[in-house]
Amino acid sequence: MDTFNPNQMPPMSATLEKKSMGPLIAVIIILALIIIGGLYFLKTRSSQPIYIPSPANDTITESLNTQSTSDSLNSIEADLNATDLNNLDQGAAAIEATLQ
Amino acid sequence: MKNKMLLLVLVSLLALPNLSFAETKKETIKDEIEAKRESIKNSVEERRQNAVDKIKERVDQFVQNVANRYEAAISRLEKLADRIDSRIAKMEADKIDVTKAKELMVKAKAKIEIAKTSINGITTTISTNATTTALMKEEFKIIKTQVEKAKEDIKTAHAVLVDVVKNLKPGQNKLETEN
Repeated sequence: MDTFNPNQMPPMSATLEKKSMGPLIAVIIILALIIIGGLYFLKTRSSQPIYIPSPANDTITESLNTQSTSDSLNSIEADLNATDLNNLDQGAAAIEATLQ
Repeated sequence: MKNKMLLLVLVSLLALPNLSFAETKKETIKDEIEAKRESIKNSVEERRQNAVDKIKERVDQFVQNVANRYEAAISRLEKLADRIDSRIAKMEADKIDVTKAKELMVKAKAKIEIAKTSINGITTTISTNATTTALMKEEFKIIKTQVEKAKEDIKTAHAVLVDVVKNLKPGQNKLETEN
């Protein structure tokens, strides 16, 4: 039968050192992964072009160019109501973000 | 003593070419470092210029789009004004009082002209002096102010046209009831 022999125990300081190194390595690995992920994200983001519609396929311009020719009040009123002027300067925010 | 002197001369003779070689090598390394530094500097400058050019291109494209939209908006308002004029003429022929509507139409047309002037005032491109993003940001601020002013003027003209139609409605209703 084996008996407990205190002399066979590993040195206390060595065990502690091993234990304290483990979490440290884990933290370093996690930080490295976060940094690599962040750099990858920034790289992909910067390479993405900001979409600015070309004058040829601008839906806002197209919708403004479409209207009836009738002079009935209902028709005129419908076209006046369909005139969306709020998005005329759409795209300014994207440009401002680029200039930040 | 004589031996020592001889030894010294020998050592000097042997060390001299090495010293000269070390000097040449030092110069070469220095030149290489200088060349590398210059190359990095040029590369950084080139990248910066490319980034600035790209932003400038985007801004120019945006301003071009806005100018096209504003011109389309003005053209739309002018066509609507023509249609309203045609309706006013028909209602006048039917003995409907359109005095107020006519007054509003004069106002609407004046507002359209103001909007046109505002659109013409929009700077269409970023100047070549804007060589940094900071300078472009400043120029874009000015463009944005002009764009917003023109947009407000277009909206005002549109609102007056809406008022004209509202003003014409009772007369139109009366006409429809009579018929």
